[in-house]
Amino acid sequence: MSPGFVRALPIGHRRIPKRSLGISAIFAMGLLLTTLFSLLYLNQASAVASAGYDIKGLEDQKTQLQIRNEQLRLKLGQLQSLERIEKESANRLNMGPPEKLLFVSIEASPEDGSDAHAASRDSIRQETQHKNASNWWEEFWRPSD
Amino acid sequence: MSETGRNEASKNGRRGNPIEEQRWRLYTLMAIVLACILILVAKLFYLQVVQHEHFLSMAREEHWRETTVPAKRGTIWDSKGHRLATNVTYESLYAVPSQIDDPGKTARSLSAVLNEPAEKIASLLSSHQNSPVLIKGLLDSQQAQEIRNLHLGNVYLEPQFKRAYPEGSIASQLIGLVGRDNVGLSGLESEYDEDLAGKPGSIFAERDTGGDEIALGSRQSRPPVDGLDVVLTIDRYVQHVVERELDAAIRAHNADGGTIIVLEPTTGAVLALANRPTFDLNDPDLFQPSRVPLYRNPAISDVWEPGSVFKIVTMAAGLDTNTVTPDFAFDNKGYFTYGGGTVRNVTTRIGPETMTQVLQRSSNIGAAFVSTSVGAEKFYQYVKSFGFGQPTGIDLPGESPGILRTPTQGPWYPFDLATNSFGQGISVTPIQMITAVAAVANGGLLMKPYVVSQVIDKQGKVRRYDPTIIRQVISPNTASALAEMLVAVVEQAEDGQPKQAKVPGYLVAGKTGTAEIPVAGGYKETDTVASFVGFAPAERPRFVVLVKINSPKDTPWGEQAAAPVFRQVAQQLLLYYRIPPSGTQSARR
Repeated sequence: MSPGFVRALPIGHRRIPKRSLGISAIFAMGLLLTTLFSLLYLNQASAVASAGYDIKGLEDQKTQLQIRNEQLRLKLGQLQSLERIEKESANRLNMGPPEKLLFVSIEASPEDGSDAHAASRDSIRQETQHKNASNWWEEFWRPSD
Repeated sequence: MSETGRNEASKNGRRGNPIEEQRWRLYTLMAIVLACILILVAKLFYLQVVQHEHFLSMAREEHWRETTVPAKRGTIWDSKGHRLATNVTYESLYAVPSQIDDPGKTARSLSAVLNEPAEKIASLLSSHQNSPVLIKGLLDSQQAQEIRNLHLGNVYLEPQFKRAYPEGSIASQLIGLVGRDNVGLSGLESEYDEDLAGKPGSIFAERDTGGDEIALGSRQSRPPVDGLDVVLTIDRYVQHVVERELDAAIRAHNADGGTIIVLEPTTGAVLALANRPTFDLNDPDLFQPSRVPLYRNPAISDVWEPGSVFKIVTMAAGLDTNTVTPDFAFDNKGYFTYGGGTVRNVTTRIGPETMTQVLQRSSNIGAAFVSTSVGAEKFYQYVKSFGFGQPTGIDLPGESPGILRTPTQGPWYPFDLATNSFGQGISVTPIQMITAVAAVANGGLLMKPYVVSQVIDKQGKVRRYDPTIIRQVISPNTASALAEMLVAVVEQAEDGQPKQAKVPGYLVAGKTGTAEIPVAGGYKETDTVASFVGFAPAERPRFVVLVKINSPKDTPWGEQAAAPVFRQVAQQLLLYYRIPPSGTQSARR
């Protein structure tokens, strides 16, 4: 074939090359996916690390609050100690031991009193049980007073 | 050929064969390289194989760190739910001086928060040392927060536990000490150390270059198990009263020391236990040898010859064996001879003496008459049955069994039977004595004394310690008769003088004791141990109190030094327990 000679093919017979995913396309896709997954992983890792440090910070805060709580509880105990109460009552409130004691005997024996309380407690308990037993359906159909 | 000629030829020969010459060079180079490789391989072998463990542990130390998480020590509660000993966390401030760029500036910043001179802090920070130095320990939470707000680099706040005592230093010898390593050293802290201490945990985690834990790094942790809480039978109010009255008595009589125990007769629960001298729980000095004896608990570990309070035991034996009755009278001749020795009273009285009068007058002759009438075998059976000569089994460390010599144990002489009857030649601990008298108050039933009623874990699971009956020592009738005799001791003064232990409006039973102090070859000329043991109200005993005052200087007598202390304590306890006064007539009936 001499140079400059081009054989023109009829249009109807022109061969169109088949479009298929080449190795480069697959590589590009893979790269894209890898990048995406990497970014996603990095983002997640960063978020987890950040959350980890947040948790550490909150744990430290919790520890500090617990320490403060313990110290306050000790202070409360010291303020409620008998030594301080005696000192305060004597020095600030000018209180002292009673000079005269009077015992008053009452009619009701402690047993009677405890029985009365027990009866009262029982009635309260029964009322509570009744309230707990009734559900919204029963409440709904209960005739109003 | 001459020598010079041969050398010349040789040189010409090598020069003449360049391949041979290159081969030599190559061999030399190869040998050097091979030697280097061998050296490297050997070094590699040494590092990788021989020193494997060493470098592995170095690498582990670099990247991994195991931190021990200390367990929190359990709280000690009184019977009414008040904290007597608890653990409080404080933070301590540390710095590594070599890491501080500007010690002066850092010191000035810290000075304002710590209330310490800046120069003092600066001198600590300027030492250039690489290990941490303590700048200030046990900061409260507010100071620690202020330091955090300063955002100073290279200063560290480390949490630190401290045993704290909200009620102050009460029951110090009973509660005991804890060492810096969280180990109980004395008292309940030692006896219940296994429960109170807990088990430390650990964190094994990957660290970054700054030594901080890597958030996404590997981590293995074992949480600490905090110590259990211990609930005592001690009532802080009763303890407070007892300590106040003991201090007052020691001041008033310029005494060397003393002990007071309060016991619940029906259960054996110890309601209060105090000794003097004692130590301050908040300021123990463990490095001073002279203070070591203060950490013991004399109420359970020190023995003394009880003197006349022991006549209660002697009379119990006499009554229970039907050898004597309260109204039985014997002929007091002013002396009593037995086993090669003679017993005399402090005050000479001649004539018939009832057994009640023996106790009222604290007659040594009468007591010797009873013990010898009962007989050695039965007398010592009762003494042992009351718990003498053996530990009571109280849940405290270092209890002494006392010293009891009997015909079958130790060097014993027949005259000992007479002297033992009034508390001489026998040594007992205060806890033994009060436990024995509590048996009389409890209808003859001997209870085991105890100070811990419950051990509670963090989930609220309770381990209870119930009252333990040891044995029926004397019959209830004997106990009742003896209690009436002891009421007469306190109520009916023989010499017309009011008895010091008498609590107006209440029936009180008890007995005084004035004991000489044994020394090598005899007894001390001057000092005595004054004591009183009694219970109230006599008709339905709520508590038993033992008072022991060591070497009172103004009076040697139990009646003057110990009985008034009993009255003071009993009066306050009767009011505290809201026990109404008993009509003397009806109660006696």
